[in-house]
Amino acid sequence: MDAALLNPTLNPSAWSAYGVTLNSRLLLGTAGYPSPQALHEAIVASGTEVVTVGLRRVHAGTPAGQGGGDNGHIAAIRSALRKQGARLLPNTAGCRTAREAIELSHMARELYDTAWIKLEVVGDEQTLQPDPWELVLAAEELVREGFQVFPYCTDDLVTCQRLLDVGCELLMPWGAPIGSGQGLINPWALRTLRERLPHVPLIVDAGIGAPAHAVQAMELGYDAVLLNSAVSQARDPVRMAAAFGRAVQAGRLGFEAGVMAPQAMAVATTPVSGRPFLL
Amino acid sequence: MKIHVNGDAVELPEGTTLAELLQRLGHTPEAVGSAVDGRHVPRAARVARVLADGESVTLFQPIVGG
Repeated sequence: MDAALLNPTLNPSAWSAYGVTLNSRLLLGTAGYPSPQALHEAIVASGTEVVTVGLRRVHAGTPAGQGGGDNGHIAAIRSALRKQGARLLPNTAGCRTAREAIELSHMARELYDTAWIKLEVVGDEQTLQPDPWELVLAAEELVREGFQVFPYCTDDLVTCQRLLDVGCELLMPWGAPIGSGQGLINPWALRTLRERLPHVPLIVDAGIGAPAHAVQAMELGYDAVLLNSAVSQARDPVRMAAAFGRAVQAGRLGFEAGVMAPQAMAVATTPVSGRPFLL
Repeated sequence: MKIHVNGDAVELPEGTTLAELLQRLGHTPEAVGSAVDGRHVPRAARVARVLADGESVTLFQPIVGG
């Protein structure tokens, strides 16, 4: 039996997003799963308490509320959320301007009944890199209108500071481009953000491909990770969801325990006194 | 008058409201978000929002997302 499961003091500490205490440090996306059942089971297996969702234009001739073309995935999400008391985090995927993102945020608040919004404003079609100017503009207005903004941003320190200046209480810098699975391509920048913003909840969002990447983010001192494709595109999404749930716990526990400082040369571990034989 | 709904042209009687349009299209009011010419129209405001010729209505529904 896992000792951590038996001894709650060996679990990672809780954290907080906009005043909501969360025990899981894994935020999970819901797109691209092979079936609603797989999605449901992955949410449960991951232990997540926050799942992301989106909005899209209604297809012509498809009445919403009668499936709406999502093949039951939204129902699977709602069912899984009820089972483990998780929350929804709607996104503004697809937006290219602050105005679009603001309007979509209002719709998300109405449809999902939450003030939380994962703010995405993309500025480049190849990398899906956030547009920092539009992002800050949108965040400023949304905060003014009572939204609790989770901005998907790059790892640029000054952009992050501007987002905090306009009222964001947490940040979600990318690890790598969305869906690329490359992991943390600029650990220096992420480490710098952590060091310069020690009291701001930081979530690595996008680019994580393997559980090891999530461990790395957590060992850097990040508060949580948000990922989607790494689970949904796995050969077995449910097992991968479980793997990420444990990876995040392991990485955070490692951070809290204090990772040893690397040494340039070997340092003997066994406390022998010199060589065993003096021949 | 002619308006556009998610890109498709639709003929409507003058004075049609957004709420009436949704009913005509068979949408459950609380299942979709609505915008006219890119501006969100809250659910409670649809009854009073009279559509005008040439306006563009966009309707959104919940989907999975990352």
